[in-house]
Order: sequence, then C-alpha cells, then structure tokens
Amino acid sequence: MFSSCNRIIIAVSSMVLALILAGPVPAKVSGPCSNCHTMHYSQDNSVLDSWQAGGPHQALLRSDCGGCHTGVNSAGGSTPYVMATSEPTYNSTGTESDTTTLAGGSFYWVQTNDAHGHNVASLTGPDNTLSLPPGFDNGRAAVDGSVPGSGSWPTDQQVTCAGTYGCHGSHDKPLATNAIRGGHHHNQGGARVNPGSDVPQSYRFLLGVAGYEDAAWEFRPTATQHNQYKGVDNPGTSATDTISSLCARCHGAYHNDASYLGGSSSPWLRHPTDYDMGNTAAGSPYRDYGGTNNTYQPAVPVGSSDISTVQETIDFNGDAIVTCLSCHRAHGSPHYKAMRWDYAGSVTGGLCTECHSNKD
Amino acid sequence: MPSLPLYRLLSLVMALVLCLSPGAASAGPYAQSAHGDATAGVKRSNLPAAYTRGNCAHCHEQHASIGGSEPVPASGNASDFALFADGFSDTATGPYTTNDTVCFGCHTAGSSLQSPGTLLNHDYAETFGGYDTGTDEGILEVFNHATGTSPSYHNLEDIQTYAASNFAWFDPNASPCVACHNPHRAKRNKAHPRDPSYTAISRPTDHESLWGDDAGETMADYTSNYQAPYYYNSTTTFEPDGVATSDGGLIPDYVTFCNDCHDKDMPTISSTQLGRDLYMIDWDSLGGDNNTAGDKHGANYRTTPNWLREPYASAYNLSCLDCHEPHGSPNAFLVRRSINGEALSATVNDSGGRGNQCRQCHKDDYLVTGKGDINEWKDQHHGRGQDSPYSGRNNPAPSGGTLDSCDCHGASEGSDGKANGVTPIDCEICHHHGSYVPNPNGQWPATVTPKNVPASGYLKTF
Repeated sequence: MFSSCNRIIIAVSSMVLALILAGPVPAKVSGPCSNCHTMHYSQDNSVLDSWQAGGPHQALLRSDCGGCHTGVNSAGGSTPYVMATSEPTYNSTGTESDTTTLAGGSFYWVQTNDAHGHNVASLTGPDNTLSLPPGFDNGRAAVDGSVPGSGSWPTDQQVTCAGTYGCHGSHDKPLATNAIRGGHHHNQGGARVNPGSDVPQSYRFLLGVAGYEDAAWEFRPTATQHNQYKGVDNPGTSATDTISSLCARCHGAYHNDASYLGGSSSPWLRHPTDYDMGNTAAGSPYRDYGGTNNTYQPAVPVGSSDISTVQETIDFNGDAIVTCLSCHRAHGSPHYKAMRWDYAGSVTGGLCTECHSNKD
Repeated sequence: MPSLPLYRLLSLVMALVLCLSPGAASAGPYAQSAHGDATAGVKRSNLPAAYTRGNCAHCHEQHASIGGSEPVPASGNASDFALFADGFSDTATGPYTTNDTVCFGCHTAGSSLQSPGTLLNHDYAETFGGYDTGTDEGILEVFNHATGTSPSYHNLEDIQTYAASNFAWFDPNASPCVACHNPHRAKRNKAHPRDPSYTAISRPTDHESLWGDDAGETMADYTSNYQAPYYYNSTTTFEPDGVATSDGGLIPDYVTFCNDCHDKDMPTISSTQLGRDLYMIDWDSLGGDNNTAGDKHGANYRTTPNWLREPYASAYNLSCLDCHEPHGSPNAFLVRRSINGEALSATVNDSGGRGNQCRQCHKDDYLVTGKGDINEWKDQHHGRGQDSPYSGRNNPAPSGGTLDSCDCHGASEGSDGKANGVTPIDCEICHHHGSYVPNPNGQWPATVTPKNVPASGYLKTF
C-alpha cells in the first residue's frame, strides 16, 4: 500500500513526464482569431472586460503588447508573459525549478527600480536616471539598415517593445504592430538560422538576429532545453545576426570595434562580447565553464556560431561565446542592472566565476 | 536486502541537485582574499551603494562606465582589464602619485578611493617588526619616503620591464605590483602578521598560488639554520609580531620568493635608481671562502668568527626581509628602518653609513669597547678584532708593493703604491651581495689582499 508521500511523488513525476513528452509548443499563434483580435473593439455596444482599455488598438488587436504578455507563466503555457501584476518567482537565477519567469526575465521589477531592466513605455515609467541608453553611440543598424531613432535618441524617450525605439522588428516602422508584422502568424520556432530581414524568420522577432528558439521560452530551462543564442568569435563584430549585435544597436559603446575593446584578446578595455572562450589555452580557468563535463549552464548562457541545435555541452570550438545575455536579462530581473544573478550584492560577483573560475 | 524508501531516495537526489546548483555558495580564493573580504575588502567610495564590499565592480568597470558614465576616478579613457584606472603610467622614476598605478588609487593614506578615504599599509619594519613611529602611511607613501639622503624604492618600471621579459603570464599592461601580488588571492597579512597563511605574496613564477601559506613555504622549511630577528624593543620575542618562536616557521620563505628575480641564475636586473645592474644573489651555494662561494648571510654562513650580536651568536641563515623592505625605505638599498629589534642609529645612504645597517647584528667599535663612535669599525679590521684582516703592516698591494693599514683609506692606489688619501672606507665597497677580496675588478681597496686570506686566495666578505 502506497503512502500518501509516495502518491504525491508519483503524481509529480507523472506531471514532469507529461511535460517532457508533450513536445514543443508551436511558436506561432493558434486558435480562433478572436483570441487576439476584435473587429470593432465593440461587442453589443460595449468593451469587453477581457479587452484592454484605451482601444481600439492597432491591427484590430484586443490589446497592446503588454496587455497580451502580462500574466503568470506556467508549464506548457502558450503565451510568453514578460510582465506580471504580482512578483514572479525568480529564485536566484531565474532558472531554478520553481521559477515563473522566461528567458528575458520580467519587466515587473522595473516598475519599482529603474536599474532592474528596460523602462519600456506602456509597461513601466520612464527612467529617472538615464535620459538615453547608456553607451548609445548614434545607433547601429539592423540588417535592413534601420537604426534605432534613426541615429538620434531624444532625451527622455522611452524604449518601446518594437519599432523605432524598440527591440523587436524593424526600426524603420514607427508602429510596433507594423514593425513585427507577420511574426505572430508565421513564426515556426526552433532554429532561425538565416533570418535575413524577415521578422518571422528572426529569432523572437528581433529583426535579423539568428538563434534557436526554445519552445517554452526557457521556462525552467535545463542544459538540454534552452534557447541557443547566436554569437561569432569576433569582438566588436559588424555582424548583424548575433544576439549581442542587437544590444549594440542602442548600447554600441559596449560592443564597438576591436580597438574600442582593446583588441581581440586580453587585456580588454571592456568586458568582451562575441568572444569565444575557446580562444583560451588548454587548461585555462575559462575552460572550467560548466564544470568537469563542461555542461551548458542555462543560468550563464554562452552563445555559439552554430545555432541549428541546442548545445548540451561545450567543446570550446565556437560554442563558448560570451554574449550580453550571458550576464543580463533582456527585459528585467530582480537584480541590479538586470543581471541574471545578484552580481552587485556578491563579493565574488556571483556567477561571474562560472567563467572566471580561478577567481571564485 | 531492504530497499531505500522512495522519499529518502528523492531527498538524496534533491540534495545532490542543490549541491550542484550554480548558485551554490562557495568560498574560493577571492572571497578569502584581502580584496574580497566581506568586512575589509574593496569598497570604492563613489560607486552606487548597490555594490557590496568586495565586489568586482570596485576595481573593474565592465563597460568602462557604470550607468552610462564613469565614476570617480574619471580618467576619460577605458583602462586595460576593465579596471577603473590604468595599470601603470610607465613613469620611469618616483616619487609616484595615485595616478601612476591603479593600486595606488586605493593604497594610500590620503585621498584613497577606498572608503572611508584612507588605507593604511605600514612598512615591513612596523607591520612585522613592531617599529611603530606613529606615522600613518599607505603603500604609496612607503614607496615615496622623502626622508634621508638616499631614499630607495622598488622601481615599478624596472619591475614591469623585468617581469614582462621573464614571466610569460605577466602582461606588460598590468600593474607592476601584480608581479609579486595576485590581487584576487592576496590575503590581509597586516591583520594577521604572525600567521603566514594570510600571506599577501605570490611568486612571480607561480602567480596563481599564494606563497608562504602551504607546507614547505616558510623560512623554517627553507633552512633549519634560520634565526628570526628580535621583535622591536625586545630581546625575548621575535619577528613576526613578537612571537616566542624564532625558527622562521611563521615567516614566508622570502628567500625563495625574492630569488625568483634576484637569483644568480636569473637574467641580470638593471636598476634605474642605482644606475647599474644589481648584484645577483647566491643564497644557496656553499663554498666557504672563495670567489665562487655563496653569500655568507645565506647557506654559506660564517666561515670565521666575528663579533656578532644576539640572537646571532651562532651561525645562522637570514631572510631577505630581515634587512630589506619590499616596497620602499628612507634608507638606501631598501634597508629597513629597524633591524633586529632596534631602530637604525642613522640613515643608511649611498655614500657611507651602511654600517648603521651592519651594526644591528655585527658589533662596531662602540659596542665592542665603548671607545669608538657608533658606526666605527677599526677594531674589526685592525689588530684588536677577532678577524683583523688588515692588522699590522705590509698588506700586499695589487701592484705588488706593500701597504700599511691606513694606506687603504683613499680613493685608489697611489703612484707610489700607496693609497692616496685617508678617507673612511664605505662598507659597501668590500661588503655587498656576492663580494669577496681581493677582487681584481672591485673598487679600491677591495682589490687589496687581506692578511688572513685563506688558501683559496679569496676571503668571502658578505
């Protein structure tokens, strides 16, 4: 006869198995049109409670970006929530088994602390300290030639989800819905190897950026289930398809040409990105990333030049590339400077030692 | 065989998972270092309060800025290793400023970037020898001693040049200080002067390891003949920190450490301050009295009896830091302000006065008979001493003539085979690292053969 404890264990195990066997969730939206759209922003001459106020919204949508993407993430969820009305569970790194955030983290914490993420218009208030993106150097172009703010960032202009001052879609499209047009309906998920200037082919609608899209948006990621970020071994690269090049569009001073970084090897003037730790000598402390077996660490993700598959282990041959997202959450986190872990509050810098292993 | 209950098995697995979690706490070398100390570690005053003491950001600005601007010190340029300031200014000589190396930005008694604005690090004589004269000083001030006629310091550019040429790991863009210190490992020895496990040094040949903290890395390990000097103002306790033991078990093996650069088998070191190559050190060779023998303050200790002061009445091997400061000194040759429990009687300078160092362990006339003045050495050299190498008359001159005792007291051998003056002889002429007499290539009168020269033809004089 089973004890109640064993029954609970079996139930939990069954749930875990079900999640494992469920397979990837389709990346593109599915279901009836009315899940997202309303033809008249009116039903029986009134606005439904499930529609976001302030409409009608662009593209006949029931709400704007924040309206759809605010919620609580759960296993098997079909909508990635990047904002929440109550504090998500982040634990230490946002990757633990009880967490409810996704790869980008959450904008939730930015509401109360500007230094915890991007102050995106309509989601949070403006940044009270920064009047323009730190490191902004007139912007770098996306693959379609569009540049954030056309190269000029107006004082106190807030970043937006998409468009001229946003991260998703083209910067040449002032309206967010235009900027990411086609993305929700045509995205296939998985490997986005050759995105070109096509939004649906781009990793997470980040125009021209390549990458492998985890079907669960890194909900409780593991070494075998995670996004695979695109990188190249060329610090300060002019490539437009790496995840770090996306950040450089607004924070270019941190990802400028090699001379700005101090060259292509140590001593760096700034922490390098798009640099493969495989350049280090055999026996280097950096080759202790992931421990003895060099297991991929979702909490400290490294990019790769090949994003056709998910890297489970690191062999330091184009798959140990430092990216901006190795340290930061793109949306926000409970930690200072949108760090993935509590860097500022740790003597050793927290998970900095995953790479700087001789300084733990 | 009974099976392991399922819930116990699950608990075990969960415990293992927790142990393997990347967020698991660790206390590695940096967290145990002086800079990473949670209560006394790095804390740059002008950084946002979010950065906890000891955090990387106090020295490294990952984007050469924080929040889009450069916190103090704002040099305007990004620095190597993403440090808040440049590793070294490449200045050829001291005195140094806080801008000459990133380390001095904090390690100064005045205007330190380290909260609360001062960071004290006294010299070796005080920290480990107990000679406290009440002066607040940081490492910058120790390098910049202004008193005395010939203050000396470990020239940073010389260190940079030498380290870059001889140690593959050393990056010439780094602070010269890291040739001897690993900033991510160095411990806070000033707070634990009698515990070598808190050493602050790393051998230039083994940068990723501390030196002095492991078995086999103390002066007692280096030699069983080591004798620690007296602690300041004591004849019963010893360095470091006035301990009762004197076998060197509490002192890092500075001989091995310093000889990573200064050993005779290493490339010659060019000294900017002295304007010549340094005498290289042979602390390990034996050989007694010979021109190829090791230093008599090292393994080749005392071959003939001399008037020695306690605790050196018997033959003993010394440590470099028994006499020298590592960073700087008001005296020439990095000679300590206090040696063997007593302050020096006078400043040691380049043009004499070296005897003020020697008399801390060797008896001068003043200590032997009370008749001579401090730092007079006639009894040691003429007749009444135990050694008396130049007693009586008719010492053989280099030219083949004979010299009276006083004939040595000149600048050179005169045309008549005699010395051409009666000035005092600087100890340094005949007594320096590696010295012996007669030395045909030496400075007068080191070329003169002493009367007690052994069969080898040479008398080892240091």
